[in-house]
Amino acid sequence: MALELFDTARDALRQTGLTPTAQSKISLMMMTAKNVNVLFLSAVEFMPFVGPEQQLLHAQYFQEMESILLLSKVTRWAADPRIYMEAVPIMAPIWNEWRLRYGMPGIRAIDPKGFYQGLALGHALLSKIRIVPVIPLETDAVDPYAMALRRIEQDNGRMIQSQITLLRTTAPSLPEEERDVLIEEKQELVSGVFNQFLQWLAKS
Amino acid sequence: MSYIKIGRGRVSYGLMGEAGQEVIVFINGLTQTSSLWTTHQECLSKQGYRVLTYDTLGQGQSSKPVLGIRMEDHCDFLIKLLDALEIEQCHLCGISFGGVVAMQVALKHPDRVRSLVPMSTFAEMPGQLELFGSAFHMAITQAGFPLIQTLLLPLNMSSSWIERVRNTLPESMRRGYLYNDPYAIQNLMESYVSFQPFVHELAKIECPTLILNGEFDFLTPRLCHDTLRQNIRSSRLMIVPRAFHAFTLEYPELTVRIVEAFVRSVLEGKWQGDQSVWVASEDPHSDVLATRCIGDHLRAVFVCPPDHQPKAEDAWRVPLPGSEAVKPAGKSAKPATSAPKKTAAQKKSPTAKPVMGKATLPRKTAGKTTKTPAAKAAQSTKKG
Repeated sequence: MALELFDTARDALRQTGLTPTAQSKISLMMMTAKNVNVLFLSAVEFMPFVGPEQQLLHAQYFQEMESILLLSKVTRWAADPRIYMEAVPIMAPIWNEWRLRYGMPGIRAIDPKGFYQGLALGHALLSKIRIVPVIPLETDAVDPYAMALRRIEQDNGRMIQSQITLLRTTAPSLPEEERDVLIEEKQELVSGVFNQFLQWLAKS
Repeated sequence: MSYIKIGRGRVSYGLMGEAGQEVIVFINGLTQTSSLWTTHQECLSKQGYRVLTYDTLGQGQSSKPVLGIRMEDHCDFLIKLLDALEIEQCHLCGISFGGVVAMQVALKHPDRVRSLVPMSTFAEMPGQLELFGSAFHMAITQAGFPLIQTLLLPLNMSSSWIERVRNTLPESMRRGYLYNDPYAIQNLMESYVSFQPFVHELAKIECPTLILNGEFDFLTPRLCHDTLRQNIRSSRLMIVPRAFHAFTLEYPELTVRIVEAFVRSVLEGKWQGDQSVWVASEDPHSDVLATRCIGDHLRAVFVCPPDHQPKAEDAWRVPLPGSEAVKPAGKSAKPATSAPKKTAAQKKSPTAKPVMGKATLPRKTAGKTTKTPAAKAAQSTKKG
């Protein structure tokens, strides 16, 4: 994680405030993360092998959808179509991760190893995408958009408990080193996207 | 900061000072980063030491394993870092969680540790500390990392420090939030689930050990440090006055002076690990760095022992007016509210208390001790 990227993005927002452009960029990043996690959760929550963890994933599925809905409502969306076009290549690696791993092969790809990878991706999405530090400290404490971002990040901290628990306890057939590699891949993927996003946000 | 690969992990470290000099290593506590040792590192390297700081596993810019961290991983991590940097031996200082790591390294790799400075730390978890740990875990899992930061701040620092930095506090907390990944901090907390008290092993630590404890450290109270003092033979306990848990941040100059004086005494062969208790000076530039602790160092106030037989001139066992025990009715009891009658000797001098009998403590006049510091030190040896 490059700390100076956070500072640069925060400083840019300090100059402009949370404009529709800034809000749209942030919401596109957040909703990419949430939508991809939701796609995975919606596919696995009724899989027979999931077992007792189903309750955790079920709860997270609906919590993520609530966050998406909240962002959709509270964001002042920009009218400039270029923002949405610019977002596509930045967010693409996360969408591709879903499409290549689960979208194309279909639901059959969610075997125990695929399930584990989905959890690892969820962990990375919930832990590495941290928007609150880019909100300028001077922002109005009751600004609805800033409040929504803070609430979502706090919810992320609670939701990730499912991934933390399940990554430790599921797929025992996978050697620990292999599990580490899978997790690390997802962390790097999401961190890479998020760093790109911060640079893009700094241009707001 | 520099980075080095250790196995599949990465460690972020800073090494300052010339090769060949004595190496002092600082280990940070939970939610801290190596950058908090910058002042200590710069000062000590200017004094001719080589100083190593690093982000412990799961913190700062070092690797943050997702699947959890075991307590022993921290020891291995440091030893591998020392190996990679070709450091044979070091003077090892660690605060709080880092203090536990430092003591465990001293136990498992005694040949690598020339001297030890455990600060604000513990070798067992008394009830209060255990419940603090549970509360922090609940906070991070249910309310998020900012709550941990907010809870720790008043435990770590004094109100006066908070007032001094109040304007910059939100930005400091933001940086703390960025440096730390909540899941990784949670992992570190959960590594304590398997924490086994190692008090019974402390006797195996043979290197010179200076235990440091803030006067007002509520998180790891005096008792935790006294256990270390009682079990590590070549140790001394030094209390840092007016300090809370994270005194190294609040009093960096004093910390540097204490650590430097300790390491120098070890190098010059002057260290006396006599398990005594000392109080550091409040002034880092004072001629006398520390004095013997007088009285019961486990108490928060200076309490007169019940069996104490003060001298007539002893001023500090003065009964509180109106506090005399009420005698049963029928006997010559005086009302508890009446002021005690002054004796002839008391009338002569405000410090003379003939009713108190003999004293063994320093003579005081008008609140000022008249004995020399050396005499006081000799007297307190019995207690420390």
